[in-house]
Amino acid sequence: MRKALTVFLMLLVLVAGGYSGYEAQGHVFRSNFVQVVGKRAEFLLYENGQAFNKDFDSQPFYATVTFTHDGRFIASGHSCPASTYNNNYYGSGVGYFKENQPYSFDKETNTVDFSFRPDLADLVVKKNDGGLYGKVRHPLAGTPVRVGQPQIGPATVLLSNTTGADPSFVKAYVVNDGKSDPGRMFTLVFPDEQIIPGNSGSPVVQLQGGQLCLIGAVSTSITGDNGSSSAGRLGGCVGVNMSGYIN
Amino acid sequence: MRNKPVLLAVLAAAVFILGIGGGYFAGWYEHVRLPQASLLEAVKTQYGQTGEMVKQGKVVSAGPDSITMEEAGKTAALPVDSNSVFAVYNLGVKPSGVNCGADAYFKPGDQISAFVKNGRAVVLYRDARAGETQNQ
Repeated sequence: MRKALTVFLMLLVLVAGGYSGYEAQGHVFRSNFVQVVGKRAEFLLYENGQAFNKDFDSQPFYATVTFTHDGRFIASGHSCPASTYNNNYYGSGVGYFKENQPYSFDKETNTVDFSFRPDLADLVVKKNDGGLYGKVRHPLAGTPVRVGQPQIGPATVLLSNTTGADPSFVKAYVVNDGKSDPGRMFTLVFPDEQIIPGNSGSPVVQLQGGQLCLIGAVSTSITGDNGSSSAGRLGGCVGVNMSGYIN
Repeated sequence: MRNKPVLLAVLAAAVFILGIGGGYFAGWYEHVRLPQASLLEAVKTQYGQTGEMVKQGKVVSAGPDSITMEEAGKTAALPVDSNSVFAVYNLGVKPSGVNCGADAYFKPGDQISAFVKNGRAVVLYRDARAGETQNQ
């Protein structure tokens, strides 16, 4: 009887240890922009640079990207400070979401709250003068990537209804390398005809040297340019110099 | 026998640490390894499809409505239209929807990269020529 109890207790200890170890994965993030949420999680969104959204008269356009401390990519997104169609529409397009509207923006706290959306409940996004930030409330799968500069050739836009979960893929082709004026923009051509509204902020990745590289975030929706039946759809895309942000 | 509680405590600690290790590995596998593998696999599959649409070669002739390029000894004429995108490294891009002939951007001898769908050039891209500094 005593032996059985001992074995049972050891099993409990094993499970407790296993749970602790399992929980340690994906929970603890580290950043130079640290917020402590809950008991032990630290969260981040990097404000990684400033690009310009040509749709809004060269107003500052902040792209953000989220990594775990070990370089796992979680999400990308951007602010939309120069929105002319809705002054409250600050936090546009948190990456990895197929649908990014409508959601509420609190002017007093500068907070965009997705919590009323069950599928987006893992993420709260905060906009301040430095850009768009986020707090991830629950562990996310994330994907290991490194940052890279856009290179001419195939690329992929990741889309998902839930952050970091089972993204779908949109074929794309990088036309220029992001070095042309205004410097941090590059253009994507989509060979398959498609109109995907609300994908702004979605991450764009390329395979470089066999590794996945995050090269930017979509700045507008993927839309047809003139409604013709020909292939080659254009979507604006912001390519942000993110080198050096993972240390 | 007097050491039994101590032994039990040590055993419990060891089991706990073992559990942490196992749980950490399980978490790593679920949150890191599997997403990485599945995403890489999906992107590579997609790249295989997209890569077949990319042609690299030298321009043989360029006109307003088509461009002829040579790739690995084979010559192919690629029609272009207003939806084709022309790009020159670091100089400029003619976006889709703008009416402009391929001969305004390309000339015989240029090394180009073409993104082709159904025999039509969706994108034509080249590096800047020596001394070329202005946007096309």
